[in-house]
Amino acid sequence: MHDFADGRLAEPVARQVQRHVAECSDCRVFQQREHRLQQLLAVKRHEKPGAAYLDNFLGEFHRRLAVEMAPQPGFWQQLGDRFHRQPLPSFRLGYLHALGAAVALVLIWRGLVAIELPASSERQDFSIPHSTPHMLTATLPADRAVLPLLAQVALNTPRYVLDHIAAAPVRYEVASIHF
Amino acid sequence: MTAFQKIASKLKFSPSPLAEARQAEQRIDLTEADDETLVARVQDGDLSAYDYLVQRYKERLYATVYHMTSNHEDANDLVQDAFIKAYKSIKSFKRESSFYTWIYRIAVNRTINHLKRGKNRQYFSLDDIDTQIQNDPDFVELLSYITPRREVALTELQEKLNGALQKLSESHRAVVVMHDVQGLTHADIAKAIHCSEGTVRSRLFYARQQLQGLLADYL
Repeated sequence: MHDFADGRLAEPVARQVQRHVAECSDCRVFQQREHRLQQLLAVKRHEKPGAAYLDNFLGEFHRRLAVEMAPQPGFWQQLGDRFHRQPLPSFRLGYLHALGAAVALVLIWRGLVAIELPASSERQDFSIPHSTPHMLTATLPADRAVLPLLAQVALNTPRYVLDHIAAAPVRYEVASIHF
Repeated sequence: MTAFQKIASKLKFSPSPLAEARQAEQRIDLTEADDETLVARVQDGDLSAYDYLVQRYKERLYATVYHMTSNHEDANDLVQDAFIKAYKSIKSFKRESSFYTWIYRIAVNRTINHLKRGKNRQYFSLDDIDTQIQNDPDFVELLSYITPRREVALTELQEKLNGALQKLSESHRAVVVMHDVQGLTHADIAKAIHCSEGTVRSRLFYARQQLQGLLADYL
């Protein structure tokens, strides 16, 4: 039927189809709907841009072509351009930034030094209370300031949180951590 | 250029009035030149010859791409890209087909790829409808069929039609635009989108079925 609607059928075949369409109501309806669809699509042939819309097309083409054909800068030039686009802060601002970074480093360093475990060779168990029916223990070497803050956090964690992260009701131990 | 002209250009001597007059005579008006002549001149390095090709085919290419995108800003960008790509590849154009067929393929494929990547603008930006449509017998017949059942404005028809086309996939929309809107044959469409004629026919069949469902109110 599409070939018939497009006029692609040979003459004898087209006549046969025409006779059939005259007798078959379904095919007649199909053919009419196809015909109206073609008429509707023909509306698009009348869509046109405004009168002056493409007047500057050639100028725009030359502008875009110039950009496309411009030689690409090398790696070092691109790097330099990036710094030029993002100017470095002024000397005064840079000085403040550097000072702030230095202060932050000192505080962190001091913080690390302040966190020390007692100088005892005994192994300490950091048992987590309230976490029945199972218990998580972490054994840490006493002479190393290793993860003391995490143990403290575990001690202070509310029960309902620990119960939520509880697994099967078996006792298990975290292997000791040696550094 | 003669040897004297070469030396003169290097020494930046201004040409004599006689030389300027001769150069003016040699400038050929290429408005009437055929595509093969223009392409040959472009391949020899004459960019001005390419301007004639751009002016000659910009509207036809714009129409094709616009029908597929229903957005005239996207259509403008894509046609510009097609002309730039064609210019950059002009030296490899072997003239096995016409220049228009070649650039048409470039434009259609770039449009399909652009739509598939989803980079098209997600709103319609429709062109106006030519007032000559009132004299189109197909349109008059269609309107006489529709209006007894319901009042319909031309803008409503245009929006519904473009909306239905946008609901098709990119490849189905392309074959409907090329065949039913622009009148290309199945063979031309198959060459443009690098598939068989059978594929074109099956896509056309499926697309028309979809459109009949989407535009049932007007059929």
